[in-house]
Amino acid sequence: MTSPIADFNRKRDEDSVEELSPFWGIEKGIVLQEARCFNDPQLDARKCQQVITKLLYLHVQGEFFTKTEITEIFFSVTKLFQSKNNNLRRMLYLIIKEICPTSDEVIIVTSSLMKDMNSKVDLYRANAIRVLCCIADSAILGQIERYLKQAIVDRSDAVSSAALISATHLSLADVDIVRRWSSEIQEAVNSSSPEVQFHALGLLYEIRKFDRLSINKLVAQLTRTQLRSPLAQCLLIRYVSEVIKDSAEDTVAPLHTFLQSCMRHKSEIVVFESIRAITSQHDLEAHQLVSVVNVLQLLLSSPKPSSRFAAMRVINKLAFLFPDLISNCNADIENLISDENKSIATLAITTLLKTGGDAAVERLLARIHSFMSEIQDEFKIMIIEAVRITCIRCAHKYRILLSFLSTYLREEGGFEYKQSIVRSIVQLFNAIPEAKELSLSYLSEFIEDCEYTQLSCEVLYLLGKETPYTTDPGKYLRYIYNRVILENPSIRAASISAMASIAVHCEMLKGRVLVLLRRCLFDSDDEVRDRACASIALLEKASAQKAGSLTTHTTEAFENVLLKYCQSNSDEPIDLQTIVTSSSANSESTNSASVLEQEHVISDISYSNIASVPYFATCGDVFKSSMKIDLTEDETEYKISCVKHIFDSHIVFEFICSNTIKEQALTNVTVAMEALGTSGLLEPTVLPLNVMPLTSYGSTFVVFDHEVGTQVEERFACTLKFVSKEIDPITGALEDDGYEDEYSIEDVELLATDFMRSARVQEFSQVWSESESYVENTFSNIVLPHDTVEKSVSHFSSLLGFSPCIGKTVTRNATLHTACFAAELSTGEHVLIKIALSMESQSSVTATVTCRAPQAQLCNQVLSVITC
Amino acid sequence: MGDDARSYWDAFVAWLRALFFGREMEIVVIGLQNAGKTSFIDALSGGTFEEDMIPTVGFNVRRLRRDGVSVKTWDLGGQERFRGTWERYCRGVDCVVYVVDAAAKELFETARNELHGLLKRETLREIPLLVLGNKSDLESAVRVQDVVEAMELKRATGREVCCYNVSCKNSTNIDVCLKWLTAHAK
Repeated sequence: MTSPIADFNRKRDEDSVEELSPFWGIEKGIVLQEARCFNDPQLDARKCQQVITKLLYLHVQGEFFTKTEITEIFFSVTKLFQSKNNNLRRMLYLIIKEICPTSDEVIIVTSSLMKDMNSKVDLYRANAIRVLCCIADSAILGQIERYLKQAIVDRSDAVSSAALISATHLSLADVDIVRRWSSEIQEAVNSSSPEVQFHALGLLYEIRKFDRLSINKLVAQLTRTQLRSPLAQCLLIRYVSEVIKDSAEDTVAPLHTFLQSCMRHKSEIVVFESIRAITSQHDLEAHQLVSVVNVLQLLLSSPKPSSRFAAMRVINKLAFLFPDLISNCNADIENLISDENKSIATLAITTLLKTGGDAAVERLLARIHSFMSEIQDEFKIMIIEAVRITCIRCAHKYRILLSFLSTYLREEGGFEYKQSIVRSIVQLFNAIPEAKELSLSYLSEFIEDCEYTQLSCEVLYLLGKETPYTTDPGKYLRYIYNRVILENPSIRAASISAMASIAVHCEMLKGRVLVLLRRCLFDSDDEVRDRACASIALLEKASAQKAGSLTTHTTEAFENVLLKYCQSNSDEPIDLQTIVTSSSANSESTNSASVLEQEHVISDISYSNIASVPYFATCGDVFKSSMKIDLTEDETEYKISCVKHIFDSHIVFEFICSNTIKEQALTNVTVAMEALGTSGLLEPTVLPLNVMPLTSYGSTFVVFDHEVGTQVEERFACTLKFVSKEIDPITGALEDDGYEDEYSIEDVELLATDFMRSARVQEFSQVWSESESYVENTFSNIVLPHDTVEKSVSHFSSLLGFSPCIGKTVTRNATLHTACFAAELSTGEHVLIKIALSMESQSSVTATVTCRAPQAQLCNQVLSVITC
Repeated sequence: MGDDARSYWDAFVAWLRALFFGREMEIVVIGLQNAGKTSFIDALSGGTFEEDMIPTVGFNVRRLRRDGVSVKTWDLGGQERFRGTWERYCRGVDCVVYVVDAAAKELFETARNELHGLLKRETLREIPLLVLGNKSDLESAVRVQDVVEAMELKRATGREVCCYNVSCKNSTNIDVCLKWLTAHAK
């Protein structure tokens, strides 16, 4: 009699003519039909399990379920709570967690889960905890907290682990509730079960991770004990290396000892984790690594491929930094070249290339030749990379290495592999100038039978760029022109550009290139013909200098000219010669368009135009320009904003205007300013703006004279005045007659602080003590509506218009802070402001502002500005 | 092959079970919160009464065995957010038990509206209804006729309807309920 398994296998062999995945041909519609079996009064547990499996399969495959479908599935699934079948219950937990309907629906299973959580069956308890923690809201969490706490120290490992993992998930949302279970978690860390210990340690770290001291303590405590679980030990190693990174050098000696001791752990995973931790430290020194290399050397001859691979990988990394150290293991590494695992072999070869001396290079390359045919492209790329590095290291071996690279350039291979070879060659001749000619000739041979268009174009561009500086550029012309005859349009076009580039730089080849280019004028492809045409025109007309400048044009300049051309209605063709000039001086507009256009060119992007207005040339330097203040709401017809400029004897209000209505032009724009106070400023001079530009900005100015060294406080009511004209929608020209109109904008204030600018003060305290003779005044207990000290500091900075010289940065969550501002008047005198901030409640900050100024009036003015 | 054998086996087990335990039935117990639904099931299973129960969040399913009948009970939460799901669990059951707090007259109107809203559903057609006026041990509890009236049970036509006053605390009338229920077993 045959055994049932053999029987089964035989049967399977017969069927296996077409062996199908059990998940083949599952369709959502049918499965949803089948899911009705959940509602049967007599449940068929086995069938239900299968249906759930299918549903889960569809779900993880990304099949979309509508909200009603999810609801329907969920409620019918809940009916399965009646079954006592363990496997079915397990699937039930799984599907509830996976499909996770809306929170108001999922709550329906809470009571049943709570019952399961207290069940006698471990399987129920563990899984119910997992699901419950997934779906619980804060109210439910409060109810089950007691049970979760108990579950963490449950005698069943599965339950304990489930509770710990769930708590880890919960801690992401609400770490405080989990912190309350610290003593239980601590107890679980000492559990005899490796799994529980691992999870508990992870959680313990999670709830303490923002408290560095407590992490240091945890690490110090655990490094003295022996953790049972290798995984937990790995976690500990990670935490240790974190602590080492953050701590001072002298305090971490025991931790280094711990890491060293972990390398002798009986579990390999711990060994590797400790090696990783040691080798990823900054400022490594060779003597620290001796023991690491010894351990790695042993692992290189491990029977397990994974260990060999891991060891090899670390060695490969170290080889970059400490080639001498690694060279001790060279014998072992060489054995691995013939390892049956190609990943290990590749790593071994690349490591040897990095560490091996000059003498070894040839021998290694010979070994690689026999090896290359067996491996895949991605490994080949790694080897090419290593060869490149070797080549740069042993520059005098470049001939051998280049011929090695070119051999593989000729052989079959994927695009990325070929690209990596080409790039390596390019880097080589950039690094080693002697290698250039040889490299270029290899590359030009390569394009003879390169199957990748992109790569061919890349090489052709390179040839065009580099060959003019070789001894015999003419040699390459043949290779390039061959491409024109044989290749597809993209390559043909690239070839033409390359030839043109050579001709531009080599006067003597110009005639030959022109002959070749003329043959291309009858090409079937537009782009090729165009390029040939353009190149010929260039070569014939322009000097090499001019043509050279065409190729070096910034694309932006070209784009600008094209954009301008598209916007204008001009029929004149663009003259390419002008691009160079117009890119440097953007104002040379080629068309004779309307006033609007000209305005557009003149107006600067940076918001103040004052520097470009001749009127102010004689006024001296600006003492201070204020921030830009918007005087209109967003989305209004005109955007007006104001900048106040203080000169020695003038106060200038610059109104920056922009029009947003296309059909209307605003000409002769001015702002009428009516002083509302009694400052006694004289009648201002007004500089009008000819036309308010559309979408761009232009300025009109109002200039008041004032006495040198005084501060004026005043408020002005402002009205925008202008002559409105219609624009003819077809020609774009302005109509001759318009009508006068005005538009009221917000008031502008002139404040004492406008006359102060940030002073460069070396030592604030010194300046403060020197200013004893000044008038001092203090406003205390000003309540600010900010919820952080930081916001309050920036509030004061924006009121004053400059940032503090002391206390600019506020430490996070600070409740007390002092910011000091030093300002300078045009007379050279200082105004000093000290602001002490304290956070008294959650939502308000209290400030005490002390100001010292040369005159009492100024002192009070400043205080009133910043405390309003 | 295996599946076939299994389903035969299941059928065999079902037959055996029917032989020993007799009949089976499925009931659903609903009503407003704090009416005593969970307590009623406890009383039905012969358990002791507990004064402070935790509100049922969602539902609990239990299996009782009384008088040779295996009764599967769906005990649903009575809070407002769960009332929308009652109907899903009432489909296809043998009996709907509606528990009313006979001592809370102010809730009668809500209880009546919820009941009749449910009875209107097509899926619940012809399912027998047992209305229980619970907490009859309290002095403020109304008589059974008043419960019938307050719930307007006359309107509940097209199905068998019965109403008892019970006290889960003292197990009063629980045996009568059980008898009525088991009479509807299949």
